Amino acid sequence: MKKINLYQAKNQLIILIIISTFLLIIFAIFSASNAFSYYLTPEEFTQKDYSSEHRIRVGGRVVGNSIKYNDLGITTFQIFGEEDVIISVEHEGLLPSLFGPKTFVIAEGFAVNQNNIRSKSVIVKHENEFLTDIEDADIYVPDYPR
Amino acid sequence: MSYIISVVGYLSLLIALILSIVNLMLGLIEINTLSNNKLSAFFSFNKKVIYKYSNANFYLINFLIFIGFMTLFIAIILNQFNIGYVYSVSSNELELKYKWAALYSSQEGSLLLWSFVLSTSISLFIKSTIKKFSSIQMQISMIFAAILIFTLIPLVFFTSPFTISVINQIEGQGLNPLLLDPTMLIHPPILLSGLISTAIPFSIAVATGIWGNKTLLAEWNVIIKKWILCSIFLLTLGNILGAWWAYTVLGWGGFWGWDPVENSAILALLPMIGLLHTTYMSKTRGGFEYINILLGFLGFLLAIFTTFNVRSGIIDSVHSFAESDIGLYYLIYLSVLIIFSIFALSKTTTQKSIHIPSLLSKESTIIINVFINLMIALAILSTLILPIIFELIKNEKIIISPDFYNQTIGSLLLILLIALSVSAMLPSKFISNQKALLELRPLFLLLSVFFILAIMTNLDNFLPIFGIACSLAICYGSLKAIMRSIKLSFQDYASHLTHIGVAIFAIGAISATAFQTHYQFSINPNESYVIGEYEFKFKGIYSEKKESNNIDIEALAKIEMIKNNKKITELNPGKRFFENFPSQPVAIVDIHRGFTTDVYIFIQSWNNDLKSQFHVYFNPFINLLWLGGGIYLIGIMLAIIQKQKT
Repeated sequence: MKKINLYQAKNQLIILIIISTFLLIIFAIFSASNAFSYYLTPEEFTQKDYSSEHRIRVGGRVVGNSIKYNDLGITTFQIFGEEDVIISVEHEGLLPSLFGPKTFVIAEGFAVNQNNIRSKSVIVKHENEFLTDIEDADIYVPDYPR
Repeated sequence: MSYIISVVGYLSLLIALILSIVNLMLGLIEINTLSNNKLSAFFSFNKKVIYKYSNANFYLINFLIFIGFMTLFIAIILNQFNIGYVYSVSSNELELKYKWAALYSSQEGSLLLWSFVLSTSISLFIKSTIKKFSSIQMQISMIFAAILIFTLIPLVFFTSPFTISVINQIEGQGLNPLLLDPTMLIHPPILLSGLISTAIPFSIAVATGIWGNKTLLAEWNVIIKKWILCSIFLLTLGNILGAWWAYTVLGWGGFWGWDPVENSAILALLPMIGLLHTTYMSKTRGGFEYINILLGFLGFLLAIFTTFNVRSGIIDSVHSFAESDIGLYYLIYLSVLIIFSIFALSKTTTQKSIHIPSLLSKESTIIINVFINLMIALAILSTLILPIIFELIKNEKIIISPDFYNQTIGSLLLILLIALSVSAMLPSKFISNQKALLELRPLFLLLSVFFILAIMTNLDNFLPIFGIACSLAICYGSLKAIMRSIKLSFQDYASHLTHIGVAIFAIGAISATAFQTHYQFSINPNESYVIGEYEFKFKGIYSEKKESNNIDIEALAKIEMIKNNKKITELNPGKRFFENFPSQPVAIVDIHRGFTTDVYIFIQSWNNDLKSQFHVYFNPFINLLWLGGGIYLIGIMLAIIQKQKT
């Protein structure tokens, strides 16, 4: 068997790269295990009791007229899924552009109970086909001064 | 009119597809002639004619796709809403410049732009460079044709932008409100062009790996260096413009959110940067055949993976297109490319082993840099692939949150900065380990000073401060290298300038991320809120009726920013309401740009008494991010110009 010369720079570099790869993979797995969240529909969310320590994401459409703001920066709204199961979201933080009734949003946070989620992040999906159209304008007039 | 436009557009793409198939067949015949004497005798006689015909075909394909592209643009300009795509992305009120954005704002249009840029890149390559690969010219043409076929099939059969609607439409749905920004006129085409440009190194790498001789294997990447540089330039510019758009439009105070699509956009860039560095090494020291071929593959494979990721709707992203079968199509396409890449790699032979004189040498730091680039790509890729694997195995959908990126990729970027700073300090020629350690003294000194500074301030900030120290060391090392030699080549200047750009960019990115401060407050009109030495006086909200781009009303807050009882500026954050999407307002961000700090303000909501909730961010040194990005791009541009002169 050919003996590896550890004094050769090329071999040192290869060993360094192998050790680094190994350490980085362990570090990445450790980070990922602490940073992943389950993605659920409102139906799936209500069917199981998710621990308040486990991060989750729930995706659904915002229910019309359910959006309420308060002075402390907390926004509450409801979302519904395909089977019309409704859950409440208590969101603390920024709301992205295009957030509004009927938009598809993904709220990330922790379960309060089987019908409520407390979120710190909301994503609005930029869909190709917008759900609000000219007819919707008469129904969903935003609660803003004009 | 819609019917004529639709037929012309569709036929042009169909003929382009047929011609691409013809070119593929010509390539296959060429391969057969290599092993068939009778065919060989016939085709060697006609070889020049066939080459000429094949090249002319590519120009014609480019022209036909251009016709298709322009036809769709004309349909949007002329408001031909009977064409389904035009109906979904445009409207009568849309300004001409945003009709350009509408052209590629959705799946079909962006795929058409993809095809047009691809065929243009191929035509330019054939015109300028293919002669240098005369021994494998038809094989390269065959791969180009195959890529064109894969690109055109969805446009002809699955997602044609020229589909006619049975209902007579007089008005369209309008453009996605978030795209009503000047950045969107150039960011998507540039980023798409960058992604597509990786097809050139890929095709050459495959052809060289399978059919290339020893000389080509050693030089293919040096010959196409300007194409590699162009890819890096376009991908970097595209990403910087994307970051600028996210910062100035999305209203969350940041420039990079680790969104899956953002991550995908930098994936292809990382192996291209690696390829550029190994190209430099193989040009000056030889070797690196395997690594070069592998990196040549990776850029395009990751670009196609990116397309699959975005189009499939598998990963939740703010950018997702509508879910469609095209995701599965791109998965098949990607699988074919991977099989070809593995086959080509198995055929590749090594000519010269890599010589590393010392661990503290330019060679080893460049290899470490390439390695870290690939590790970053792998880490990002794993976050995009893991959820798919998890869903297949456990039937549960998972998402990797930004915490992972901040920890893992943040750490890798820090190691990259360390390796870059060591590389910048070392001279190009080999020196002994003792001399190398002497050269690294300023780096150790700088790191020690910043280490003490980190301890004195707050150990929580240790890593960001360490990153800034390394970035300063890169600047110092690169400037020293420029000053050290008055006989530096144009290419060396470009290289040092690029590294200085990276360092300045890193300082801006680290500062604006780690030292950003965020305040949130709700106040009534004529009330003030004080943050440090700044007072924010809210004067009320004013509405303005708009007449274009389906904008109904812009409601703008008036806020006086006061320092030492003196008004510095008036800030006007607000919301834009649309006639066609009335329940979906878009944020209007206002930024007071300071020399050291940006004050970034965003209005979240207000009630009927106009009591409003504001978010204010202080982003220190964020301007260095844009400045560094600009310097980096100038450096790359100089390298491209240099290459063209030689």
